[in-house]
Formats: sequence, C-alpha cells, structure tokens
Amino acid sequence: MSDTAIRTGYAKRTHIRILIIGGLLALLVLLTGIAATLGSYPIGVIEVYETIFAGPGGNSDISTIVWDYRLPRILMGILAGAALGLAGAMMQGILRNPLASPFTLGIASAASFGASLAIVLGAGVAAGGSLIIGNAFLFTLIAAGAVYGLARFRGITPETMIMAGIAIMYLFSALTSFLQYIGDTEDVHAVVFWMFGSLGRSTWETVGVVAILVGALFPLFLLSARSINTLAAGDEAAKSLGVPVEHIRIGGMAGASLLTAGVICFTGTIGFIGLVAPHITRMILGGDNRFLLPGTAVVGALVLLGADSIGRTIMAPQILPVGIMTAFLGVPFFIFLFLSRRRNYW
Amino acid sequence: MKRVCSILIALILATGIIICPVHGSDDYSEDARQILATGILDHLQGGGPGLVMLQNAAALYPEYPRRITDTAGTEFTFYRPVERVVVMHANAAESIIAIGGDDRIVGVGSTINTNTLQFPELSQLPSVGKWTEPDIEAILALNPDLIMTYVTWPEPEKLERHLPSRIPVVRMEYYKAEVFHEEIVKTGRIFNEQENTNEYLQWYDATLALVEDRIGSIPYNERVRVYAESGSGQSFGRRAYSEGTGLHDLLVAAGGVNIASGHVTGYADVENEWIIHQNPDVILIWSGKAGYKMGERDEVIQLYEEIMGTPGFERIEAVKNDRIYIVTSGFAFGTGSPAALVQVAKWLYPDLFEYINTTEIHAEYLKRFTRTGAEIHEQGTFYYPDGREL
Amino acid sequence: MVTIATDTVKFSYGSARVLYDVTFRLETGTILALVGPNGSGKTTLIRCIDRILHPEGSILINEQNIHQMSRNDLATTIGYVPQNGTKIAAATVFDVVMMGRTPHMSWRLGDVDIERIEYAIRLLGIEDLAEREYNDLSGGQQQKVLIARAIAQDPKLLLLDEPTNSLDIHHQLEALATISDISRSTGMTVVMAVHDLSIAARYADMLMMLKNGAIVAIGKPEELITPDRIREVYNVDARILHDPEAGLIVAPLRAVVGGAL
Repeated sequence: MSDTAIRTGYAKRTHIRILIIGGLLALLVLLTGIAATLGSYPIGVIEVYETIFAGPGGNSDISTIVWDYRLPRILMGILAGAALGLAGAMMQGILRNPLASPFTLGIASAASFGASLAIVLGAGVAAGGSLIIGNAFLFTLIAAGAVYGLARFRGITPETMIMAGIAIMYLFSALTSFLQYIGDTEDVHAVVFWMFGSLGRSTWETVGVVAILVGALFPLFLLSARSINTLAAGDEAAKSLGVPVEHIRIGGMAGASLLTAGVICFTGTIGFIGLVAPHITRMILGGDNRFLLPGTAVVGALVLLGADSIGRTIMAPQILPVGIMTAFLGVPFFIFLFLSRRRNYW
Repeated sequence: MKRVCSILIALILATGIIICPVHGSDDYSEDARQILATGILDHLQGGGPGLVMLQNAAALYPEYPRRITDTAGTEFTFYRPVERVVVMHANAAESIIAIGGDDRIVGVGSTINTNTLQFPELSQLPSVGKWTEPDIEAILALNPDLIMTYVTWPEPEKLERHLPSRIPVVRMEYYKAEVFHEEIVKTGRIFNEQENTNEYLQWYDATLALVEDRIGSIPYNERVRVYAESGSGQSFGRRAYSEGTGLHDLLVAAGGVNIASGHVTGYADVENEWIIHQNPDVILIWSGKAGYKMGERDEVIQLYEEIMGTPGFERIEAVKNDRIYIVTSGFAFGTGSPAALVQVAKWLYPDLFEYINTTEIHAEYLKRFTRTGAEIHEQGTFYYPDGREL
Repeated sequence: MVTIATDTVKFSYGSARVLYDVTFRLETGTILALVGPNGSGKTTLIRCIDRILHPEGSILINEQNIHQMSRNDLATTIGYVPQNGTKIAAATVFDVVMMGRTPHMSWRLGDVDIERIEYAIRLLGIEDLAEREYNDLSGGQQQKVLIARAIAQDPKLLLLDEPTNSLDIHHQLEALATISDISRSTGMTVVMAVHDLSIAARYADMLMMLKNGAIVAIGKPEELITPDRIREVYNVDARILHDPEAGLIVAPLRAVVGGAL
C-alpha cells in the first residue's frame, strides 16, 4: 500500500462517514415529517402542514393539537434521544467500558429515587409536577457527585468510577424499593409509571430546557472527541499523548450526567437508548468519536422518535410506554447488527 | 372405655338429629343437618372434624354447622361462630363493620392500622403485616379462628402454606360490584349477624334501586358520554379507564357511556388529542387521595384544575359546561359505593335526580354503617365539587 | 532537540522505595539503554521522566523542570512507547497511529498530520495493516503500531519500555535500526529499557545499569559490560565475546548459586 493509498483510504472513510451521518439526518427529518401526521385526532396530512406553516396560536382543535401536543412531543423525542445517546457514548468513551450508560452508573436510579421521593412523601401525584422534576434533577446530580467523590479516593479511573457507580445504583434502587414498600398503592402506581418513561408530558418549556442543555453540551462533547479517542489507548498512554485524562473524565461524566438529568426529570426513565444507540452507531460508523458522537445523537433521536411514534399508533388510542417500545424496537436491530457484522467493536 | 363413651354420645346425638323432624324447611338448617350427620358418621369411621367441633355444632344446631364457599371457590364448614378474626385488608374491614362483626376482629393488616380516621378502633389492634406480605408469626400469636383476605393476595405460598389447616383463610374482595352482594350475605353468615346484614343490604338495594328506576329507561343514544381517568397530574400521562375497572362499572351503572369502551381494556395512556376528538359530555376522575384521609383536599381540587388548564380542552363540552367530577376511592368503591352511584348518576342526569339529596344519603351511610367520627362526617372530602368552599 | 538532566530522583510505591537518588545527564541525540534485572526500576524511571509518576527530586528537559511544563508541551516533546498488552477497542491501526498526533492536531486531521502518520506507518512497514483492528493483531504487530504511534508524535525524546520483547529477531533488528536511524538523522534523544545486553550494547550510545532502584554504573557499553559487573548486577557468570559485525556479545554461562536478586 503506497502513501497515497493510506491518505485516500482515510479520506474515503471520512467521506463515507459524513455521508452516513447525512443520510441518518435525512431519515430523521423524514420521520419527523411523518410523526407530525400521526395521532388519534384525524387530521389530513396537508392540513397538518398548513397548520405548521400558519404558526402557533390558531384558535382551533387542529392548531392546539399540532402546536401544543404533537410538535413538542416530537421535538422532545428527538432531543431526549439525542441527549441520552450522547450521554451513553460519552460514558462508554471516558470509562472505556461498553456497558457504561446513565443506567449502569446509578444516574437514572437516582433520578427515579428523586421522583419517587417527591411522589410518595412530597405533595403527591397531582401537585408534584415541578417537585418531581426538581427532585429527579437534584438526585441525579447528587449521584454523579457521589460517584465522583467515591472514585476520587482511589484515583479517577474507569474501574473506580464503575465500582462507585454500581454501588450508587444499588443504593438508590434499594431506596426506591423502600419508598414503594411504604408508599400508598396509588403513589406506588405513579412511581412505576414514572419509571416507564413518557414523552406525553412534553411542553414547549421542557423542550426548550432540553434544547439549551443539548445545544450547550454537544459542542463541548465534540471538542473533546479527539481526547476521548486517545483515552481508548489507556490512561497512561493518553497522558503521555497530552490528554488531561482526569479533567476529561470528570468533565465528561458531569456533562453526561447533566444531559441525562435534564432529560429524564421531564420524561421519566427512558432506558436503553443510552446503552444501545452508541453501540448501533459504533457498528455503523466505527469508533472515532468525532463521528461517533454526532452519529449517536442522530441514531438516539431516530430510535426514540420512532419508538414513540409506533407506541402511540399501533394500539391507538392507547399509548404503549415509550421505554417499552424503545426496547422492542432497539433490541432486534441491535442483535441484527451484532450478529451480521464480524468486526471487533469493543 | 373413653372411646366407647364418645361413640355412644355421638350415636345418641346422631339418632336425635336424624330422627327428630327438623323445624322449618329452610335450606340452611337442612344443610346443617346434613353436615352434622356426615361429620358424625365420618367421626365414627375415624375421620371427621373431631369430637369438640361436633359437640359445639350440636349445641348450636340447627344454626350450626354452616357451610360457606368464598369467592375463590373454596368451601369452608363453620361448626361454631367465629371469635378471633384476622382481617388483612381495609375493604373487608369496612364490610365487617357495616354488618356489625368488627368486635370479633383481633388483628389487622397494616393498611388498616394506618387508616385511623376510617377505623378508629380497628386501627389500634395488633398489625399482621401488609396485605401483600403477611407476618405469619404475628398472625399465629393472635391464635385466630379465621383469616380474611383478598382472592389473589397474599398468594397462598405466603399465607396458607405456613398456617395449620385448622385456621380457615376466607378469600373475598368486597370491592367488586358483581360479587359484592353475595359476599356480604356470606360475611353475615360467617359472623352470625343476619339481622345487621339484612339492615345493611336493605339500604344497599334501596339505594341501587333509586338509580336503576330513573336511568333504566334512557335509550342508549341519549345517554351521557363520559371520559373516565385516574388523576393524571404531571407524574402520570392521560390515563383512561375502561372495561375491567371499577370506575368504568360505576359510570355505566350510573347510566353513562364510557368513550374509551371498545378502545381501551382496563386502563391505558391516551393522547390529549383523542379526548379532544371524542368531545365527552362529562369527565369523571378517580383519585386515591382524600376520602378517609384528611389534608388531601387540595390534591383532589388540583385534578380538577389540571383538566381545566389543559390546552384545547376548553373546547370540550365537559369543560365548557363545567362538568368535571372527582370521586375518591373511599367513596366510589366498597361498602359505601351505592352513595357514590347515586351521586354520579345525579351528576350525569341532574334533572332525574332533582329531588334526591345525595349528600344526605352519604351522610346516612357514614353514620349507620361506619365507625367514623365527627371529623370525617363534617370535613371529609369524598368527592368534588361537593358544595363546600375550597 | 533535548537534553535530560535528573537530580536525586526518588520514588516509592507507598512505603516500598523503588528508585534511589537517580542522577544523570544525557545530551541531545544520545541513545541510552536502561539495563538491569527485573524490578531494578527501569520502567519506573521511564514513567517518572514522562511525568506519569511523580517522583521527588528534579527532572529537567532542556533545563526546564517537567513539572512546570503543560501536558501538551510535554507530549510534543516526549514520546512514550509502553509495554504492549493494553487493548484498544474499536480502533484501526490507522486510528491508533493517529493518536500520536493528539498533541499536534486540531479537531480536523491536517495535511501535516496525515503526512506524519503515513511516514510512521511506512517506517515500521505496517502499511498493509493500516485498516485492520488493532485488537486483532499479534503482539509483535501491536508493538510496531505503538512505536509508529510514538514516531507520529514527532517527539524530541523517545522513551521505550521493552520495545522489542514481542518481536522476533528479524523485527527486533529492524525496529531498533529504525529508531537508531531516526535518532542519528534528527537528533532525537532515546531512552529505552532493554533486557538483552547484546542488543543494548549494539544500538545504545550509553548504558545505564540499575539494580534495586539505584544506578550501578553509567557509561559506554564496551566499558560498562564486564564479567564482574554482570556477576554483580545479575548474579550470572558470563563471557564477553566480540564479533567483527555484531560487536559485543554477552554469553551467559550459569546463574550464581546463592546469589540474591
């Protein structure tokens, strides 16, 4: 292989990766367009787009439905999927562990506990909207802080962080179970439902908050992509290649926790995407985080939006919880890729 | 010698029963005769319920022995009145109170312990664990002669398996309308409280008839269309209730048509836009809050306000006409449900129930068939709007 | 180009002291081989120089204390080839060599970066492996990739920890000749830990013998390698041979009985 072959090989691969990401983006736009026309109120396709182009504030059922329900729900699906995918990819990268995700590291179980606490001991099911959100967010950050604090004692390595994360996860799971044990039947019901996850509570305000989080953190994630690539060589090698290993790891963990907290405090625990979207993307695009991170964001958005769109259509007017649909949709696809490709992904 | 004696006594008893033409022709005493005779004959062959039981029953004959089949389908024979009863769940406890058998309760499930306003006396009794997780040692320590629990909870592996077979575990629901009447009759027989039972059932039947008489003749297409849900708030989605739920049964019995009927089984989340499309006349909400619990009125009112504030709902008939109603579990299900039925029916068809004072009916129920005090009678929030200030 | 000067470098893992007062100076373009028995402190010294470990005493690169340099400055100055064995997930050989450009490149891979990557890959003769997964390679192939990564880093000081222990003799000679050539042509200073004394003597300008964390001797190979020193450091009787082409050859004869390492 000559010099130029190495060079053109790289250029070609880069080109293909950009094309794939572009294709995935186009697919996401298409899916968004379709999702806007789905729902249990019969509205014609053309009418939907007329309403979208007419702008918000129309005083009709159709305007309310499109602008107050469908669009926020769809945008939340996209943003939440992207955020959870990014958080997962970031954690897998900085911890060099294919099983790392907001769930395995206790972040999501802390959010569940925060929400449960608000539901069971707080103002309760009805009054507790903002309390649930605030509590879920707060406890997520507490968990991330605890993981960091515990790991700090033994050095910020993947092993210490994963061990600390698993300990935190079991602690918060046990606390949530305890709350369920002492809680009213109705409260326990609400907790279980919250843990299924749902995009049904999306409003323009919540979409805005998540958009700001993703908008602020995505560029930072992308900037650190090169360092995360180098981290794969091991902490010592990465250090000698100029990567500020601990800073990247702490920053990445904080960013991933913020993204996760910002999403699941509004949606409840939507599992699985944080674990699987990065893997699906890695199988398609390879391990270079400069492409993996944007790719994962798009794949996460596709999976979540797709799952929610199917979930609210196939048994309409009943909605299947998005967390369940995500698994139904994501697992077969994941297994298909896993079995059909021979390369060594991890 | 002792054995011969006991056989002799048994024989004398048996011939007495078999020979004496039994007074009256009612089925219960005929039943009793047969059970006792079979018991004696079994005993003579070395089996049967034991001599003590037979002696007890003989003394009380023809009132005893009694045979009762519970809702789970298990048959039990009572040779004497029960004296020490453990009650696992609140539905059973309120029914036993309604028929005046609560003085025989010696131990209760923890949900009864915590419900001090609904069960001022029973809540002070020793706890036997949660209705899903019985504390076997606590149960045995109370030396009960009967345990009452739900049909499916706790599972027999958690309860019967650990108990001696002499302690019967009667499984009845007390919250399902289709078996409720029958369960009350059986409960009256178990506790030997026929008179009180009849009194309660008279009230029950009369209240139900009040509704049936008025709504029975309304043709289907003139019935009110109702959307029923559990208090959605912000931790739930919009959760519709349909066939297979108590809330559905309640609104149908009150003459309503459930818009989710045929679309949803049990309960399921639905989209707001579907409700806008269905445009129901009435929205009926069930809440697990308030009822026999104080200080939760705000949470009930919040449910009402959440519906009022949902975008697009302002164009729904139910919201336009302010026909959003909330019932609590302490009101809608169980022993007091006839009062709730009249209330819901009056909400759906105000004209037909113009002269029925539903508040009075519920107050009467609380007074005659519960042990609740003035606090509940005067300040309890059982449904909303209930005519009181915020 | 760089000089290294260390002054009384000490290092302990907890209470276990592994380096005692290591003081030496190395001029630009010198190839220094660290030799000594297992546990003598060779790897520790290399890791101290790259600031992976934080010893007492001072280490100066071009008269500047490494603790006053930023990570990135250090990484543009010092390349480090660790002992191989670490898996690198989801990365091709190209990706791994590209990591060498981390301290130099911006987010995009520039022309200079690609040229340097190509140069390193060609130098190590691993063009045909460029698109293979790193984890699928043999130990020897991985070792070459790690050397290529360090070359791509374009360092002025190259640290190698047993760089050839997975290579067959053919590839050992090739790899060390490559490193030696770069050093000669660019003035790159090299510090490498080596087990094989003959190989060390052949490719290094200077030898440092370590035992139990302290310097036993430092100097030119032919002056340093004597049967007495080998006996002192390794507890091995050896004969020193001279071959007109291979140079100095250490032929070990027998382990000294009762000698403690």
